[in-house]
Amino acid sequence: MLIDARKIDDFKTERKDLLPPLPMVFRLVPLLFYLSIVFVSVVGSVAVWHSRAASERYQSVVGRTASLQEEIKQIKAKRDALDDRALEAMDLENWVLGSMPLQPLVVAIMRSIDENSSIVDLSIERDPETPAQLKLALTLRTNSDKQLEVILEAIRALGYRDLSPTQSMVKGNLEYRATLLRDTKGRLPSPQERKQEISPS
Amino acid sequence: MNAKQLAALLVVLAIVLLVQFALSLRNQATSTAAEAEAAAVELEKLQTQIDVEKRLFGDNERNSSELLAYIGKWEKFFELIDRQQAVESFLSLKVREFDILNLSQRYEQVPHTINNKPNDSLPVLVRASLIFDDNYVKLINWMGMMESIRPTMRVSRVAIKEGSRDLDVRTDMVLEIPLWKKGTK
Repeated sequence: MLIDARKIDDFKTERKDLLPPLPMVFRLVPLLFYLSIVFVSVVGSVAVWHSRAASERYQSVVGRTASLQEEIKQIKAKRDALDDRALEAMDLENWVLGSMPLQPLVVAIMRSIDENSSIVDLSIERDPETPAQLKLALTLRTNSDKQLEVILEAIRALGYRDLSPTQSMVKGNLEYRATLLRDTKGRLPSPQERKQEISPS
Repeated sequence: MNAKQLAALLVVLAIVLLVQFALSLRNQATSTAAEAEAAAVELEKLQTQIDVEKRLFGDNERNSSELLAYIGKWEKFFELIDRQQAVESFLSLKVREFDILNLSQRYEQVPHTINNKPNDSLPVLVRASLIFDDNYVKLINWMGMMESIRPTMRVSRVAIKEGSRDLDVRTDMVLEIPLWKKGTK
């Protein structure tokens, strides 16, 4: 059945506006709305993309930071252990330097005594605070003026220097006192070299 | 306000909210980028720090290598004696081996200090005070043998005077043996 077009138009009858029309400027509102949707789409997408990239970079940097901090911690621990080891080695080195054998010195002094002289008393003592220094006290029964000089030559031949020496005659005996300091010329002796220093009597 | 105006106002409000939302996304991205940047700066500082630490460690390693190698040769001698009983039995044995007349032996442990400061690695010394009266050659050889086989042992005092017989000497000897407390530092 055909319906007349004019009758269909009649379904929507002409109606008069109940409200007054909005001002012309309000026609911008839908335009602004569409623009804002475009703005949100573009700016939002770019921002989300940037944010995601920055977040990934941040996570990677944080991971690398943690691994570097761990590495620094390990290096510091190794350095501390090495420093401790070096301090311990210095303690041992100081002991080694302050424990040079005295037997060669005693032998050298004894051997330098000539037949007209004799030792009444010989004492060699390490200074407790500076063990590399030796306090020598020697009492000689001698008629020779040169005997003491011979003994001192023998001591110096072993690399010792005599510091603040004093000598006096007590009851006919020559008393000599001095502090002996060995010049190692900066060399550190090995255990083998120490053994080789020992003299057969 | 009529319905048309209200509808327009709502659309304007929606526009404002949309723009606000876009700007907040952008701000969030900016702040995340700033955090990443700050973390990168921190990372750069750490990289510098690790370079410094590595250099310091390398320097220390180089500086101490000679000393550590040197002390490595001595360590086995420090390790030989680790308690007073070992010192006593070792000295008594060596005195008997040489058949030396030993008038007295006294052992004590003393704290090891240098300039009134305790030595952490070698905190204790075993001090043996020995008095002998025997042949001079025998005593000097004994002293040499002891200093040779125990190079870390220190004769801290030796006093020799005439002995009871012609070739004999009376010798007061103080020996000090350090007890190594390994790895205390």
